[in-house]
Amino acid sequence: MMEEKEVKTGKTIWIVIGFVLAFLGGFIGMFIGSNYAFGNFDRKTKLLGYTMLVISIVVMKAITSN
Amino acid sequence: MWNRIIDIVEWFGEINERRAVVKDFNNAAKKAFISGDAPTLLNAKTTLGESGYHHHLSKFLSGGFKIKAISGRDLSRDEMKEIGAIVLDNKDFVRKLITMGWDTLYVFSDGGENGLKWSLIEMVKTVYIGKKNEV
Repeated sequence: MMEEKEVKTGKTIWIVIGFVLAFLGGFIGMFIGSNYAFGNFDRKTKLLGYTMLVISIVVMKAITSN
Repeated sequence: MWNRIIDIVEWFGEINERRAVVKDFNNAAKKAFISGDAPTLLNAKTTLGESGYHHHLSKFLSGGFKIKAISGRDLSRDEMKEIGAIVLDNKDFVRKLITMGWDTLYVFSDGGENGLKWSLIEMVKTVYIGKKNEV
């Protein structure tokens, strides 16, 4: 049998919370996003993490530039 | 023009074929669970495959074959490994998955967020070709 690798999937509730916080422009949204993007998660969760991270950065940038 | 129409028709045909594979798997798992042959109900769906497991037939954004074991609790690593082994031992099914664009097999339990993943093409390269006479 070929060697299997461990992988994690994101909990829906944390993904929703992450996106809400990302849109609010908080550091916690960025933290959740980077945890999903750079952690040992499946590709779907990683893509959501990257999206969360980008949204957090864009919103934070928009807030701080005003 | 006609070639494009034929391509579109073929593309839809492929999608239906992939759906049929998932549906057949789920129906077989359901029957096995109802009859008592399988202790856990398995449910498969298509998801994104791992980028490192891609092969030239991989489908973009739908290369993952994700099996969720509905047991009402967290499964141990060995239990998930056993489910994966049952699927991977079915060589015809694995070959079918590869030719239809899947590249990654995931096994998750419904309770937890931890799971296991296998590269289907690596499986063929390392295990099946290693036992060429049996294939």
